[in-house]
Amino acid sequence: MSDEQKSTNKGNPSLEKANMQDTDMQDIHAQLMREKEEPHEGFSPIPIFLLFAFAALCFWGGVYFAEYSQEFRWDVYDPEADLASAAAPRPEKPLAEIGAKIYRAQCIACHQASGLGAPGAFPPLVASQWVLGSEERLARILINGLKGPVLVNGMTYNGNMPAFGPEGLNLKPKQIAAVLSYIRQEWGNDAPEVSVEAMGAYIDDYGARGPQWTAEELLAEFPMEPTVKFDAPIQ
Amino acid sequence: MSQAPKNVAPTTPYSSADASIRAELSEIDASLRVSSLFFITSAIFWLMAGTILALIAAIKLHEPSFAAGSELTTFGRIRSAHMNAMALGFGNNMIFAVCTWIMARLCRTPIRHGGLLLIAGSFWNLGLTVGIAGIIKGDITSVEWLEIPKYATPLLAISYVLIGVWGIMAFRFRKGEHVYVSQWYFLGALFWFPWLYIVAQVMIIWAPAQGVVQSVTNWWFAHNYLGLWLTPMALGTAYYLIPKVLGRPIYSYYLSVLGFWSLAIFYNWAGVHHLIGGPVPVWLLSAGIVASVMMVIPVIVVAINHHMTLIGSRLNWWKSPTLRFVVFGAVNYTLVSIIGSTMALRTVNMTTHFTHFTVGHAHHGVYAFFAMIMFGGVYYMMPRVLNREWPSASLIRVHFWMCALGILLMVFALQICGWIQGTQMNDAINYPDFLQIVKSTRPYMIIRSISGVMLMVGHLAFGLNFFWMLFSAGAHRVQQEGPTLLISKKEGSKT
Repeated sequence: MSDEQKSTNKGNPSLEKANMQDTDMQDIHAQLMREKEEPHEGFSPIPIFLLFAFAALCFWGGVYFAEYSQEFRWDVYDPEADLASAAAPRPEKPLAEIGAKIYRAQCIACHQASGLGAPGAFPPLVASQWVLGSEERLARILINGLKGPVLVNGMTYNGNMPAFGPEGLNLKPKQIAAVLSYIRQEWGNDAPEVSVEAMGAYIDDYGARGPQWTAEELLAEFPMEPTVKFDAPIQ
Repeated sequence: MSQAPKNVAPTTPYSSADASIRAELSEIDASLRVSSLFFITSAIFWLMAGTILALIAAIKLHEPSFAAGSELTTFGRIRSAHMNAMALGFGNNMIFAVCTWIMARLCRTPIRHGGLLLIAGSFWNLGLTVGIAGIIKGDITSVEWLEIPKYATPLLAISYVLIGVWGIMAFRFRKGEHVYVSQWYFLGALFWFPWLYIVAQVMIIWAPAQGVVQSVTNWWFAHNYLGLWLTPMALGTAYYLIPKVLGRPIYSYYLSVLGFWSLAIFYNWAGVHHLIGGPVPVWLLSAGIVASVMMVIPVIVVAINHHMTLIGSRLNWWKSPTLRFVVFGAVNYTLVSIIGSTMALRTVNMTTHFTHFTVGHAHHGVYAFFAMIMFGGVYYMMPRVLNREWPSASLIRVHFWMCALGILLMVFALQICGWIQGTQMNDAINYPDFLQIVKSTRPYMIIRSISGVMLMVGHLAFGLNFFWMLFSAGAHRVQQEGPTLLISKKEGSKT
């Protein structure tokens, strides 16, 4: 086959088809004719160890995902976060701590941050038997309020304590219990805290009472305890 | 019909001819001649442009004052222009050329209205030119992998759809019952890419999603651009070329099935591993990590399938320019994927994240795997499309060695550098000075620039060989018997 023939016939596939002699095709389309046949697949089986290896890999994937999926929460970004302990109920704040907040919001204007009140109008809470003594007497004052003269630590005060129970500011039992616990334990006071349950019961009993208490009414039911510290005359 | 008995081993080039199939193939090659030349020429131009941009960006990392006079050549713009020129310009034009050609051949149907392909292809390159000019001008978006400004992307999307339709139409009008594994990959990718691109454009650029969803979408897109577009295209090409050049069947159909479907299932999840450590719900990251590790399955399966097909024919694949590139690419597919799966693990990622390690990994995948297989595809395709031989085996050798050694050098330099960098950045007690860590990467950055020059030389050899073949009008090498091979001419001409 001459070089001339080769080059003149090159590059024209329709011409190739027209005279499809074996020798011609070989000449004019060497690239195509030397090609191996179009590819096809054999059917060797997948090696069995490979399937075991992949199964093991899938197993690992499942374990890993279970370990680090964090219950599909949108708000967990730390793969190591311990959701179980995070979900456990947070330790309750001590009542007195909650009470401090309420005291600052509701009581501080009259009774002052020092708990000493103001002469003549607002009795002190510090070392007062009204605070440290009978729990129920104190609770009733909070629920329904108190008016008229009251003798505290030897001084007479004539103020007007508003109600914080359902007919007044409507604080919840827990909030009143908290503020009572606070004043009973702050400023050197040292009386047991008032439980939320007890407070709930007092509110059930007196929440709908209506008028404020007077000191006489309360002392009639709960006589004032003798005081050691101040030894003041009580009524 | 066949003129030679099938069971004769194809020791001589002309022996296994099935004349009518060969006539069909010749018709298909002719139907794609103009469009594939257009796409490959465009790809080579983008390759050159991308390489120059890459070199500028690489040099800036060790000589910050280099080309610092203008805002047009700041690192951020040049780097993004480089990436888009390579991924969308070189990568997609190569895919449009090589993969539509293989698709048409396997479907045994000539491409209809090939002229319209040219128009779509012109729009693609026009849109990309506008887009990259926009990036350099300063209209770059702030989203990695989607930097092309808003005004150019619709053009890209439309022309892609037009080109993709040709591939799908070829499949629709195919002859024969059997659908070969390459066709699965191509068909899958032809559908996956528009889905990825359009969802990402809408959710990030046109109607931005709120909050971290945007970055999750961003990395879903960016990683799938590699995994569900470049990877299946390159794997399909390798699946076609390896048995085609060797003349033996792919080892196992079952492995092909397993490899294809496990890729399709797992890859889509993997992208979020780029956000490990970020404010993303941790289950999403864990799903991405598991999927990244599960990618070991398709990778090992494909590796075994290719290896078992190639085994025992070392001389053949070393001799054939096509297979030398394809085998290099296939081996690196295995390596890069295993490294990638490892990098997705939280403990490893803690070191490699935000370092040059990731940059090395990206080049390993896109270049050492994808680009090398595509080069192999061009070396096989062009003699058939042009009915000419490659003019110079030496230039092919230069191309192979420069690119192969260049990219390996780059990957080693960047990954060693990245590992040291990551270890130091995690150790604030011994390395409190961030700038000191940056400075200590300098020697590696210089090596990276050297590897870039090697790649440049390789690309020039490739371009020179291509245009020599294209413009020398068949006057040269008419005496050449058989293909241009890479082992000595004597030995080559015998087979």
